[in-house]
Parts: sequence; C-alpha cells; structure tokens
Amino acid sequence: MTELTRERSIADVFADHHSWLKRWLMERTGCNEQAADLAQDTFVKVLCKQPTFEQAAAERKYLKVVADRLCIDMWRRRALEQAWLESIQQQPEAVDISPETQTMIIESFLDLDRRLRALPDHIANAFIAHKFEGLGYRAIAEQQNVTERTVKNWMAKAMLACIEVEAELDQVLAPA
Amino acid sequence: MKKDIPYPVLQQAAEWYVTLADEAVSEQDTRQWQEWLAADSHHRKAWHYVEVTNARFHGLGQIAGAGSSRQILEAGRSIGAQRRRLLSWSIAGIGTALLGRYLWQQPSLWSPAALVADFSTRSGTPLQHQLSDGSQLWINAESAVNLAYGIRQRQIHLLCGEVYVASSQKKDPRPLQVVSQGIRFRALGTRFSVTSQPSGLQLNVFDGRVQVTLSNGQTRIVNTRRGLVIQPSGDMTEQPVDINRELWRDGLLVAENMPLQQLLEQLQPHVRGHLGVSDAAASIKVVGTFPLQQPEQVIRMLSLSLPIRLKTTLPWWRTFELETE
Repeated sequence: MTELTRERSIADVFADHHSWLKRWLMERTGCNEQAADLAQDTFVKVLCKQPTFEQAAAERKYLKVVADRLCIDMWRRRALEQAWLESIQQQPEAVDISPETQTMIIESFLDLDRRLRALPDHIANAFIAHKFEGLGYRAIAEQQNVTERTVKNWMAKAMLACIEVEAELDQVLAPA
Repeated sequence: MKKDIPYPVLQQAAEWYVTLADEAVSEQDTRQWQEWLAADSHHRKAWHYVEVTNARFHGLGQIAGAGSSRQILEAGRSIGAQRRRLLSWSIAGIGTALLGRYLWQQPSLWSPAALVADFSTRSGTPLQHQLSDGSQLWINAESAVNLAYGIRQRQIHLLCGEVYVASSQKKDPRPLQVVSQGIRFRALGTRFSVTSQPSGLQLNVFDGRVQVTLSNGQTRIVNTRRGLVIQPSGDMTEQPVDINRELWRDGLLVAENMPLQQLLEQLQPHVRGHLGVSDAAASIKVVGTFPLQQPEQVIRMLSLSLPIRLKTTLPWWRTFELETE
C-alpha cells in the first residue's frame, strides 16, 4: 500500500511540476536543451531519494533546491574544465592524454571541489594551497595575517569536511 | 556491514592530520597518534579516510601539476552564489570555444562529429563490418568512422582512431578511398590501414598499393609493405611496414623488439584511463604476443617480464617506470 502511494506521488510530482521546473531552469541557464536535461536529472535525483510531501508548495521548494545544486555543479564543472584546458595549453610540450582521461581528471577536481564547497573561501583556499603546494601553517598565517592556531583550526575544518564525505560515500557503497 | 563512525572520531582524525602535517611534529606526537590508532577500529577507519583524501590531492597534484591544480580548484570556487548567473554566460561561451578548439585539434571520440558517426568504438572493442561492395572494414578500438558510398565513389571517412580496409576483388568503377584530416588514401587493389592521431596520420600498406592525395592536390604512391607517416605540417616520411601491425584485427599485439612506449600506444585504446611510461622506461625493447582483448592481463605480463613496475597515481592514471627509478 505504501509502495503504491509513493509511486503515485512521484508521478504526481512529475506531472504537476515538470513544465514549471523546465521554465525555471530555462530562465536560469538560458538554454532550452540544458534546461530539459537538468529537469530530467532533477527528477532522477528525486526518484532515487523518494521523499514524501504533504503540500505541492513544499515539492516545488524541494525541486528548486535539487535543480539549483545541479546548475551550480554544471557551472563549476565548466569553470574547472576551462581552467584545466588553459593549464594544458600553457604547457610547452603537447599533452597526450585521451579525452576520456581528461574527463576523469575534471571529474576528480569536481570531487574535491564538492568536498570543500561548504567551506568559506579563505579556509578552502588555504587548505588547497597547503595540500597542493605544501604551504606550511606559518606561511599561511603570515599571508592571511592570522595566528598559526587559527590556521590549524582551518586545516582541521577542511580535512573534516573531506573525510565526512569519504565516510558518507563508504556508507553508501558498503553492503547494507 | 554498515557501521557509522562517530562524528567525534572523525574530528579527532582531522586534528591528528593537522598535528602530523606540521613541520614541527614531535616524536611524542607521533607516538600518541600511533596509540590512538591502535586503540579502536573506528580510529583506523577514520584515519583511512584521511589517507584517501591525501591520495586524492596528491594524485591530482602529480597529474596536473601543483600550481595548476591549485588554480583549477580556485577557478571552480570562483563560481560563487552571487555572481554565478552572470558568470555562467561568459564561461559557457569561453568554455565551449576552448573545448571546441581543443577537440578540433585533437581528432577524438568526444568531438561532436565522432559522437554522431556511423560507427564508433569505445575502449577495448574493435569492430568488423562488411561493406555493401563486399569490402571488409575493421575499426580499431577508440575510433569513429562515417561511410559515404555514393554513385561515383566509395568513401570511408576516418574521424579518429584506426581503420583497416581489405578491398573487394569485385570490379567496381567507383574508387575506394579512406579520407582523414583532408587527405585521401585511394585503394589500388589492396589491404591497408590508416591511423589518425593528433600527431598526424599513418598509412600502412600490407598488400597492393595506395595512392595518397594531400589537400593541396599533391599525390604519391605507396607500395606493398611500405608505410607513410604524414605530419600535420604536411611533411611525409616513408618507412617499412611492421607486418605485425595487422594483427589487432585478430585481437593480437605482436611485438618484436618494440619499444615499450610504442607498445603502450597500441595498447592504450583498449585500456580504461591513462597508461603512461617514464622517459627512462620508454625505450625498453619488448618481445611477445599479447591479447588486446585482455589489456589488464597484458599490463600484468609486462610488469612481470620486464624490469619495470606500475605506479598508480590514481586508479585511472598509471605509469610504468623502471624498478630502479
């Protein structure tokens, strides 16, 4: 019985909100095709989570949040992709990496980006510099004009954000 | 088995990371950390996540370079909540333009043309196809081909990758041609292959002859057992054909004193992810017959039989290097 109600509710959500969501996404992205794809992806996400709602208004709010996240993901992916392409064009020697592998590289950057997304810029950027360029706590403290203790707090926050995601992923992938 | 790691344990792991990554880490710190690790399996699991995180950063830093990696991630972060809408327009434009240019330079399966090609193969799956005139066409892994068989001509457009053509013995007034990067390869009763790569084109004639016509109209005949390398600049070099180069059709890669780098280039289309080789190991000579359908087995065979080891920077980014490196 519950199963049936749930299935109906998803179908209802789709019927009631699909065109509205597509219009909203169209305004946001300025591209019809992209809006259609993102709307599709949004419903797939919702289908996977199967939330239950009592009011249509709550449904739209939820759909907006999911769709918004997908939009940001898309834009961030583009920004990362562009930065990656610029970086390989700057290299004097031709880089012989298959496009498939390039996609994997961009996905991996996006993975890191997602882990650090909730953090304020100053923390995330300090952590990025520390991880990639081996910048020490004191150097960061001097650059940012804060104490070393503060920098350590930042690093702990950033690492915590990363391992929280790893732990979550592990939960999802682990057999129930 | 699902088991949640308590949040405070994750916090402790993050704190330990900060302590150990400090230049001023003391021996006492290290000892206390080891005690903490030994005390509880949750601690070890949480620390494992720290190590996974470190590997992610380290691996990408190695692949893309430390400075570039930082710039790339910061570029992503610049897409902030307030200006995302405005930026999305300009970035969409630049991004597409750049990607477009890049893909155009590099004939690839991901180019718009290849995505809608008549035939396109992914990694590890060559394809055989009989054409309407009885000719046989083999399409190597990671390749894309369009067919244009008309009233006056029979054309095989190679967008990227490699094709092998065994032309039909039947008389046909229409010339049979492979066309790639603006260059035409006309069969004169023959078996031949054409490879299209960012570094240029390569023709191998296994039987009969092939007439090559450059985009400026210049022509040239290549005879049996001869090969031709054509650089993007139009420079051409003739060389003898490696007869073993035919065998990918049967799923075999035969190496007779083949430099490791060359072997890996032929294996790459069949492998998921990047498979590189260090400069020091690139020229090691390899002898053997390898099954292309089982690339992972080939990788294992190479590791076992040569003085090299496989360095895995990230699961999909692997590099062979000398054991002594």
